[in-house]
Amino acid sequence: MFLVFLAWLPFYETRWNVLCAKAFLLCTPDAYAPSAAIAWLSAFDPAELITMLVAVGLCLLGFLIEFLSVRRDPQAHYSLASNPILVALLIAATVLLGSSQGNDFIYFSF
Amino acid sequence: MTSSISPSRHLFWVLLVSLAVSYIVGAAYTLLWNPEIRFWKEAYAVKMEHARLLDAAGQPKTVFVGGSSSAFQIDPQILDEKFGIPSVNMGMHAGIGARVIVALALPLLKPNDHLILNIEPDLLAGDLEPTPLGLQFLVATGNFPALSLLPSSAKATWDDALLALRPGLRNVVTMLGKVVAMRPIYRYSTEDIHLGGYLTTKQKGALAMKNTWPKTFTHTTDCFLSELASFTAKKNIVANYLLPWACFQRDTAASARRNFAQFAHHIDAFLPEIHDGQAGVDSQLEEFADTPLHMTQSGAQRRTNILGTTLNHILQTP
Repeated sequence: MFLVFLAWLPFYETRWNVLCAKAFLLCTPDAYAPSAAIAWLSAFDPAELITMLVAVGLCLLGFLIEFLSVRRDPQAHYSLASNPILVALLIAATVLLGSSQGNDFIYFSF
Repeated sequence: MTSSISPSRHLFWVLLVSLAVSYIVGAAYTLLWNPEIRFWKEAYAVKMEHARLLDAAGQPKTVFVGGSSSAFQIDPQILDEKFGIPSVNMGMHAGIGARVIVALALPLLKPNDHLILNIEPDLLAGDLEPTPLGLQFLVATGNFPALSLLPSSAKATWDDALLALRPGLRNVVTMLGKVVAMRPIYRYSTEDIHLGGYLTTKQKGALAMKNTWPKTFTHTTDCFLSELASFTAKKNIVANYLLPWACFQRDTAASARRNFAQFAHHIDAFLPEIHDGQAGVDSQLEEFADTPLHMTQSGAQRRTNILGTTLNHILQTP
């Protein structure tokens, strides 16, 4: 999983200077302190934070469904992918939630 | 009885139908129910109707083009009744991007009209490209072709516009949050839209700005301004730039004025600046409503009176 993460990092971050800064940060032990997490979270405005938590929650839900399904049935990936209701839900979520470029204006926010 | 459709074909149709239904639902929400689009569409309709009435009366009009600071600062009724300047306030949501703001106003300009670009410095010196909200708004108002009136704005394609017709996670989460918490769906309502497109709000809480926007001009901005100047010259339209007012603390007001003066001086090469004596800075916090760019009614009244006097002075000067 760690290797997959490392492989995806340069895929998403195409700016070399930012990529190096991110890689350096990942190798810095202090960056894993709770205070760093608190500082990071406080940098978000409430709307961004809630949106991010919902996105993370949806990802965790996906992992949980996958984990429980694979534990019950080794062929679960096939059965999940061929479940029409699940497929329809995934398509809807991708189309409706995928484009998440909000704006920074306060008129439509919490 | 077994189905005659194979499982893979069945799944293919599920995929296709889900895709089509999801897109239609997303587009319908975006164009018809998104509170942001709905409010600004109504404001846009009021502005357009006022412009149409002025055109029907055969009067050359002054068109203020800018973000919401323009919408909340300039009252066309005062300009018309007190100074004899028929005008339309085309101030729109700054989140739609400078190119879209200008594109929405260009079609209503007629020869002998007066265009006053009143866009916030950070918006004009920042990324001009249409935002997803801007593309959504252009489609919702049927104005997408207006983007091509300035050649450099014509890069956005229909593909971009159609792909933008989706709410996105943040909008969905915000909407659900507002419904669950029973909060007002949008900050402003139709009662806040007034004659000529002027907006007001009873919301308060503006904080003065501390720093100016340290923006430098890009070639893109220069090109955009040059095209706008050329477009207006060809149509025999007088075009100027006017700095919107922003609230600054008294101790930073002088440096903010200097920065804005430099900014406006650069634009002056394309669109001559209108000097109202404020250089885009005001320090009377009590006259700002919910943001340091949105003025209260009394603030907008003061601002419009100063503007009306300035414009009449310019018009009377040979």
